[in-house]
Amino acid sequence: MNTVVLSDPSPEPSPQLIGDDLRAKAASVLERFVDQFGGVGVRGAVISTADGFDIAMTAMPEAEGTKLSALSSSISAIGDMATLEVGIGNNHQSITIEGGDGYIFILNIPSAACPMILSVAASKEIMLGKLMYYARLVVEGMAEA
Amino acid sequence: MIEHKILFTGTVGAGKTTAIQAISEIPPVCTDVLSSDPTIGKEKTTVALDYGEISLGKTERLRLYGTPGQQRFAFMWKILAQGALGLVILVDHSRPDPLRDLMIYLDNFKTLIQESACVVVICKMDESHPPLLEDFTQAMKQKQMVYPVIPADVRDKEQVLWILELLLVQMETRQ
Ligand SMILES: Nc1nc2c(ncn2[C@@H]2O[C@H](COP(=O)(O)OP(=O)(O)O)[C@@H](O)[C@H]2O)c(=O)[nH]1
Ligand SMILES: [Mg+2]
Repeated sequence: MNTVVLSDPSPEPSPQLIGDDLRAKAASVLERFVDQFGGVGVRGAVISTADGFDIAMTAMPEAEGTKLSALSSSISAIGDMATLEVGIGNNHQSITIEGGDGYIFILNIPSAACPMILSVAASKEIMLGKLMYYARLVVEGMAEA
Repeated sequence: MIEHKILFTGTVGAGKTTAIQAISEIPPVCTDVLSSDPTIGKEKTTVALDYGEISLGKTERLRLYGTPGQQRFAFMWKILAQGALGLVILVDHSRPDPLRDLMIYLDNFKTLIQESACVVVICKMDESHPPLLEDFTQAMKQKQMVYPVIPADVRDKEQVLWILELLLVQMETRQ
């Protein structure tokens, strides 16, 4: 088996192109989103650029939000290729990953100028319908940005 | 049909996606998205993988995978290296410190390189300024890594096929 040993990645600074306005908007949209759950179920959320830089995160350690942004970027792009291949759309709308102790939800935030991704980490207590409802509101709120 | 997995890695903008698109016989799978990082000097960037295929005669096929270049996607390097039988490292000579760039990939793919085959390709080479080809060779020697280092324009199908040829020769002599 071939393995790869990862050396410590040097931190990549988040690019300047992400304006302060966009960051502020993403932060407030995320705040409103987690407030809907009153501390039950949602473990954290991050909005990132489609190429994997975090824009704003909430209830999540920064290192985790940064890493999740890159992971979600890859998963999301593969999701788009899969929907395209099977002919169910040009882009995925959401991807759900179920772990033993919770979920990760990844939603595409379409935008011509700055395509983004919402990633939400949740525990098994989460009510899926409610989560999807409010996550879509985040997508709608940001897609206009 | 005998299939080999070949991996293309290297700096962002060096030409990994371009190289696979130049030679693939199937419509390549491409996961490039709009880049929000102006420093990479191009509009789109690969965030998951590239995939293409090319057959060699009637009995052999190469499955070509490309990685994202940036270190924030290093988890994809690890995933994509699994089962690879050869590695092509593309270094963009026009970046500020190409020697240091090469070291990042040599270090991260060390095990794969030792267990398989490797070719280092210097892209967008400008011989009027350093590092020169022998600087790359020298730097690799210091790491006890002796592999071909060649300049190439990966937009040209023939040159990409030549890179694969160098890789296949190594793979055969190792068997
Ligand atoms: N001028 C010049 N451009 C090149 C050469 N090789 C590749 N390119 C260009 O450099 C870019 C490489 O981009 P891409 O393939 O996306 O790089 P990746 O990030 O490694 O996948 C493309 O726009 C190519 O056309 C070269 O030898 N000379
Ligand atoms: Mg690429």
